[in-house]
Amino acid sequence: MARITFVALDGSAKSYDAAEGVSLMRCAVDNDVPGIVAECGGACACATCQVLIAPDWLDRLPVAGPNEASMIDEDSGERGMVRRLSCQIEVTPELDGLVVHVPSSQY
Amino acid sequence: MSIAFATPVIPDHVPENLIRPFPFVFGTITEADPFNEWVPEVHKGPDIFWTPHAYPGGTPAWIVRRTQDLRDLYFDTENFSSKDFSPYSKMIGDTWTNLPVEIDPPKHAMYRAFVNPIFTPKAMAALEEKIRSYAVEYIEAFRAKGECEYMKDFAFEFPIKVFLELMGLPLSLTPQFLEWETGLLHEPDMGKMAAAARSVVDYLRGEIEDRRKNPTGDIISYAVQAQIDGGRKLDDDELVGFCFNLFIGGLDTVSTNMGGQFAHLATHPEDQARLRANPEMIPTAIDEMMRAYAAVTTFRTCTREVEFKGVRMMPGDKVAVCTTLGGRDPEEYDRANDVIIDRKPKHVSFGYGPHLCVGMHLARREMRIAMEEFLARIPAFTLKPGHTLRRHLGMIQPVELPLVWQA
Ligand code: HEM
Ligand code: FES
Repeated sequence: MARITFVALDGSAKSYDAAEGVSLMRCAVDNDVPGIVAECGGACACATCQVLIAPDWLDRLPVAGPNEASMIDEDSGERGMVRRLSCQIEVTPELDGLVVHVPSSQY
Repeated sequence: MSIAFATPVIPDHVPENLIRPFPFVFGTITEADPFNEWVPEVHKGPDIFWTPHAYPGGTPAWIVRRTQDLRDLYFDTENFSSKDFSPYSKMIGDTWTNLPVEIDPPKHAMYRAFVNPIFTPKAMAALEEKIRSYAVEYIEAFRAKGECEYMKDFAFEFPIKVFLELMGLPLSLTPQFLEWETGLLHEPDMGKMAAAARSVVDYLRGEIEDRRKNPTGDIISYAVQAQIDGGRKLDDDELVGFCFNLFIGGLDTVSTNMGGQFAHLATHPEDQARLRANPEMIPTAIDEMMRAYAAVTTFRTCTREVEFKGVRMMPGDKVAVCTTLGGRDPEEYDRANDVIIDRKPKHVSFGYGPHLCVGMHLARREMRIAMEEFLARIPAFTLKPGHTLRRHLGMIQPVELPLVWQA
């Protein structure tokens, strides 16, 4: 279990307990976090589950694979954070306390 | 429509009570309204059933009608393979595979990583003005006449132009591409279909060879230069399979959905007026119409004996992934047969899972621009009085769509 906080575009934040092994995308979608579309259902094919994460968390996240990287523009970070596909990040105990921001657009 | 099929041999593992008729037969034309007359009937039947003539060529397939079951099917790539679901390569004695659509995971991801950068939202946004200028050109050509045949005068050629632009091919090829496309996708005669496939492949091979020598900034040049699999280049079969996949995936699909959307607007003046007055609602409305008039059916082949949602399937069985049914499952959508243009549905009309349409950002952009420009330039329109809409089955597409307005 890890506590994950999602910050909406208007700055409002909500936290959820996510089970180990589920993806951040699943946690967001199951809790109806606005702005996480996830059109392909978690297959790394739609790039509509993008989130922003602060750089100091990066070493606790899996490295983006080639397929994920091929869909994210290098200069697409926002507010000093990097973009990742939330379906490609599984919840681990290490991610307890992670803060995830919804990006300004998925498209 | 009279097409004579061989009497089906019913395999032992197919229970009697799951054998059902299914009127959506590839290559035929109907005057019925398949969306509103046939789909609701299918949804009264079993979740999964077997039917003798659903696969192209009139051979059997399982039909999965529930949206959630289709989502699960899209993800179950171990039991249900996408390999060889289209007949073209085999039909002409070739060895290429449509790529990425007929490649299964895990290899599929390697190809998707190569294709994805071409079709990102950002890359497609750069085409906005080009796409808009093509749309305007078609619409202005018939605006003053007070009528058009929407398919022939706009919907068929418009996505071909965009595609030729992306591929770095001359726009003068538009009529030739349309002829090939019709031969591949709406031709009941297998001989003619094979001839079209042969022509397309020969043509693509020539262009691939040319870009090897004279690379430019187009998609074919990108493909011949790309490195996959830790540094190797795509071989000839991979390049042909990739280009062919774009050809069958990116042209007729867009034309068809445009046709479905404008058939709806022509017969639902209230929705038409609402979108003309509120063009910012167009993207949402398009997704709702994509749900309600989903046109694409692809197939999977069962790889091993499996029990899927309580139904036993055997290796080699074909399974239809019919997005037309998935868009109107009454257990997934309230008032599934009503088009509610601000519904914002989650649909499977672009597929789901790893093979989700890689061209969806381009497709949405083309459809949006077509509707924006048409509604801005053409006043209230209707279907030409007395016209009975006929549709191709397979890819469910209006044969003609004559529209009239006060010029
Ligand atoms: C409204 C228009 C379109 C619709 C409804 C549509 C629908 C689909 C569907 C349902 C699939 C999944 C097939 C399967 O899993 O068996 C798919 C895949 C694909 N589409 Fe589209 N498509 C459209 C437009 C386009 C365009 C414009 C392009 C490119 C120019 C394109 C290229 C592809 C490709 C390459 C795939 C294979 C993706 C993969 O296997 O990973 N499509 N499309
Ligand atoms: S849900 Fe589609 S890429 Fe993450």
